[in-house]
Amino acid sequence: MVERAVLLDLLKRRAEAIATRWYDAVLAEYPEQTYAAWKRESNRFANPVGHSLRAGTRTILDAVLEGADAEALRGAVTDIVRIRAVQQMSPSAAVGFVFRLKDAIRAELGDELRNGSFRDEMAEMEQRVDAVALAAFDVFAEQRELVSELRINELKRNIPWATGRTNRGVVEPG
Amino acid sequence: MNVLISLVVVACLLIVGMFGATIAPQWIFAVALPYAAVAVFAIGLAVRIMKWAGVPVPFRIPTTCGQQRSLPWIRQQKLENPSNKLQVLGRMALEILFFRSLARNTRTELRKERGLVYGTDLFLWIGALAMHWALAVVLIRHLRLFTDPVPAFVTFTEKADGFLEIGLPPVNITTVVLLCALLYLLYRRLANARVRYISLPEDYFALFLLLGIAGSGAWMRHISHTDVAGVKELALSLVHFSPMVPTGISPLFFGHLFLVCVLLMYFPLGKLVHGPGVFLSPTRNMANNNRAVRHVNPWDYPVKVHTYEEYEDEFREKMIAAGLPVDKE
Amino acid sequence: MSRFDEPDYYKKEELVQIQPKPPRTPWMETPVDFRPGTYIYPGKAKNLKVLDLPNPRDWAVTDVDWQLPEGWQKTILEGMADRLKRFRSFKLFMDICVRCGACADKCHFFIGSGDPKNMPVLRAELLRSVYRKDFTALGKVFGKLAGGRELTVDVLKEWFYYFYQCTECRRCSVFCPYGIDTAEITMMGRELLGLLGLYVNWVIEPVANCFRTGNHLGITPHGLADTLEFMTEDIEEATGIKIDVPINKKGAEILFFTPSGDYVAAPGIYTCMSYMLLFNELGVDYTWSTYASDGGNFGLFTSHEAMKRLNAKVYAEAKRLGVKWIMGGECGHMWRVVNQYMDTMNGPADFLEVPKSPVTGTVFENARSTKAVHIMEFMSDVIRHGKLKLDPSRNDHIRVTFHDSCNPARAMGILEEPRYVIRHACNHFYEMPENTIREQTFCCGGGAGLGTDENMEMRLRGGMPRGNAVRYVQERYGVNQLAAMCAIDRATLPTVCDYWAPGVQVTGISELVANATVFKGEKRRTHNLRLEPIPGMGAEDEESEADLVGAGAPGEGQGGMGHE
Ligand code: HEM
Ligand code: SF4
Ligand code: SF4
Repeated sequence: MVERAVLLDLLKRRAEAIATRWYDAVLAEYPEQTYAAWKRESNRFANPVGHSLRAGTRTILDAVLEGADAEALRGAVTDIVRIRAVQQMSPSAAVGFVFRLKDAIRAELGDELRNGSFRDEMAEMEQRVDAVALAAFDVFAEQRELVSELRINELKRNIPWATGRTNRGVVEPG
Repeated sequence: MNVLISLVVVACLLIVGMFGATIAPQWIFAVALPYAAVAVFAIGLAVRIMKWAGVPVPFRIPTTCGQQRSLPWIRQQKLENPSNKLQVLGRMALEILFFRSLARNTRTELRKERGLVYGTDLFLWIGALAMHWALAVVLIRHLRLFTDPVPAFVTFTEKADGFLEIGLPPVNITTVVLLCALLYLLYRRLANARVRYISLPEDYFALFLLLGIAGSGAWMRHISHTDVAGVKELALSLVHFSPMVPTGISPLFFGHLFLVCVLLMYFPLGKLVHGPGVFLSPTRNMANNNRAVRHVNPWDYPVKVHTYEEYEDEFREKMIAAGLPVDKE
Repeated sequence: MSRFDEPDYYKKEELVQIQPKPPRTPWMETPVDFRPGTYIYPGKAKNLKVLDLPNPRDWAVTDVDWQLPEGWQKTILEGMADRLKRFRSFKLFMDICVRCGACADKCHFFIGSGDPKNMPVLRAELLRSVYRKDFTALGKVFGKLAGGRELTVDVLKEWFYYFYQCTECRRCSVFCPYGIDTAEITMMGRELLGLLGLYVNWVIEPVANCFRTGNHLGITPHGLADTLEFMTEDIEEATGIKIDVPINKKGAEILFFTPSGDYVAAPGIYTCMSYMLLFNELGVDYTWSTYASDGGNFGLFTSHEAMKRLNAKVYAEAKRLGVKWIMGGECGHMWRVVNQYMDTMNGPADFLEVPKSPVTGTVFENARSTKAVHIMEFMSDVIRHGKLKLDPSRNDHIRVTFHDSCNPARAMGILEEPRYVIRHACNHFYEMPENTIREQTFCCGGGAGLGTDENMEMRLRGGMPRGNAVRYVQERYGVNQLAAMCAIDRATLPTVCDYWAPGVQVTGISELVANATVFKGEKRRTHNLRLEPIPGMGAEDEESEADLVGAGAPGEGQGGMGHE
């Protein structure tokens, strides 16, 4: 119990650094030129994707550290996954960014983890990260579904008129 | 790769210039080449500009960057959305003298969300502006070599430029600014992955060439002094079309001169023509007054249209049935 | 990979060294990845035939063989040579780019997708590389070293992909030190592709329709009459006012034309109803035309020639009907055409009179030659003169923001008029952040013929910067409506909002005005033109709260209108 608190404390103290590493790793999945552009420009409107990734990774990390429940985790991953759901990447890549968090934690706490005996706690942390990944997967599926729904909705917006008019024989077929 | 090729090419050119002059007869590098370069520059540039000017501007397509002229009580942004020639002149002046469009980047709010914030491309604007202005001043200063007596504005520029009075001869600020700005532009091209990705060998070549010229110039002035009197003699003789090459001019000068000749010859061929080009840019040099003054397209040609008659022929019965008026019953 | 309990898993250095995805192949050697959801279906043969366009055939983007005509390289190169002689913009923009990168991160498609070829400068280089190889001295001598590139099928496919991934919004042009307008280059690129019969159906079908029936949707004259009639029924239901619809009326004072999108789809139809209501209220003597029933002009997204062919009907119809001047409705690209091309292409309109408002007597000096006035110029003048009785509190449940549409902003500069009108029609108006409005406005992602559904993923990427700014004002000020004076916006922004800022609805400006106007002889207004109850107007008891805010759950979206 004591140890656990210690690991959490440690993580919380280093959260900023971990988040930064993670963010960097996520950005690095994009082409180099894009990485440069998204990392550099900090204006939230000129660079909405970079900004969302930056803010989103931090939100997720905080949620993980607080041991947030499933619902909260979903909320935290939504912003990022919403973006990745429409970018040119495979589903695994779109969601896989979550696992980079494990690497980020290990990279940041490398020394402490090697010396200390946080193995069990670390394993638990990793389980939480897995939970985030599952949540991300849910959100991803949902957003993809939304995309197809939007396609249909767009057609639907015309339908009342279209049907109204064809029923009355005013639109020539074709 | 692109960078290396360009660097090597420029270095080779410098060496050719420096030692070519000692091996080959001097008149080739000191007389024939400068004349040829100036000729290529002048004719090349004229041809280039005439080619552009010879292409018509079929439509008036300014990019409007502010409120249009419409109702009298709505304030028009005259320099961002000009509606007459004078306002266009103002807009162009801003573009050419202050690179107005590049400066737009600075308007993005620089909000401190976390740590250090970089002004988007404010640096590009500063770098480009510094480089061009310094270049212009350096060119003016060079006039002292080609004129006798030296006009007052040249002497004045030189005085003003060296006001720091460091070193002997005094260091001109524009030299320093030019070199720094060029180095920054080069750095930016290399360090910014985005810009590196779009860069072609030519882009580096232009920068290295200018760096080579400015660097060799500064070196001559401050480190290995060359015989300025001799150079002036040469320059004047060239201007007066009675060329004679004084002895004792250092090879470095010939390197410098050779690079300048290359620049002059390259100028009309490559991207450096953007300078003259900007004056002709239809999105900037036209007034947004299309609705008030008709613009004529010189190559306008008739096109096949679907006339009202054809249209009515197709739909006449149905139009009548729907109670719509028709031309032919 | 080592397990985490093995010592070298902890080797910091390896993990620290974050390298962005290894430098990809140089852009010239990166082929396109046609992934479903990112491209638009090709133009159908039947549509090309209607317009007598070359090489009509049915094909698919994913086909390896695009059935290009014999000697296609020559066709393209000749087409380029021809256009280089006709358009100074094209020639100059091919020559003077210094690749400074100022435009690179300004394109909404790059911002949203991160695909480097969506940087405007690279989009232009796709064409410029071919230009260099075949038209410049340096390129001919040094080839690839001078940035030249052979014209191959892969290059052509790349053109097709990326020129239909540019909404011709001109945002890049605002930031370029030379005003290089990538939209102009995209237009040339599309014209060149067209020489080989490479079009997208979402553009070329509307063009074919418009050529024959006068509007993009292929609505027949009697169909249009019915549609407008249908709208008057809704108008009467909402306001109690019965109005006449003048169609093809000879001798009317004003010919009114507007994009056809507003005849058929929500929320555009409400804007269309509002025009009629307001003209009726102001006693404007105007007419619709079935022949010139579309102000929109997808020819702009096809070729200059197609644009001219479609636009010709406007002046022709004005002449036939004998009107005095022309007024245009809320549309984006239509106003690019009217403001920058119409007079030159199909003018002079010397048979018309300089527009003078019949309501206020104001003469529109800025439209002295074209004789075409924007409805927001007209309305702001009307409101300024106090000719409309407005009760903005009727819109108090609306917290509105305004999206500058690309073309009116950057190819015309109509920025203040719509804001003036909105401020008088609504009490709660909030601007989006500075670098996302006015001349720096972000595109909806669906302009220039990209607004179809098969490329939804791409559109959502492109709509991201706009959606993000909307979301910001939504969170910050509780904005629930986005006003836009563009039919494409009204068709595509609902989708963008449903994805990026769920809960924000889209409206036209005229609709806001009509809902705020106290009409002569109106009945007690309990419902707005969407036939939704207006809060505070005594209809709450009947309907539940939830309907009022126009709340659409993301899944629900901004569904249909009131008719079943
Ligand atoms: C008058 C309008 C001009 C404008 C707006 C302008 C703007 C620019 C810009 C933005 C750059 C890009 C810097 C970079 O590489 O990132 C540049 C480069 C350059 N310009 Fe100009 N320029 C103008 C005129 C001229 C003129 C008249 C010359 C004649 C000497 C010139 C020579 C150069 C050179 C040598 C470069 C460096 C090459 C390079 O960086 O690629 N410019 N200019
Ligand atoms: S801003 Fe203009 S000059 Fe600079 S890279 Fe873009 S198009 Fe080229
Ligand atoms: S015109 Fe618009 S869409 Fe096209 S490249 Fe420029 S910014 Fe991008």
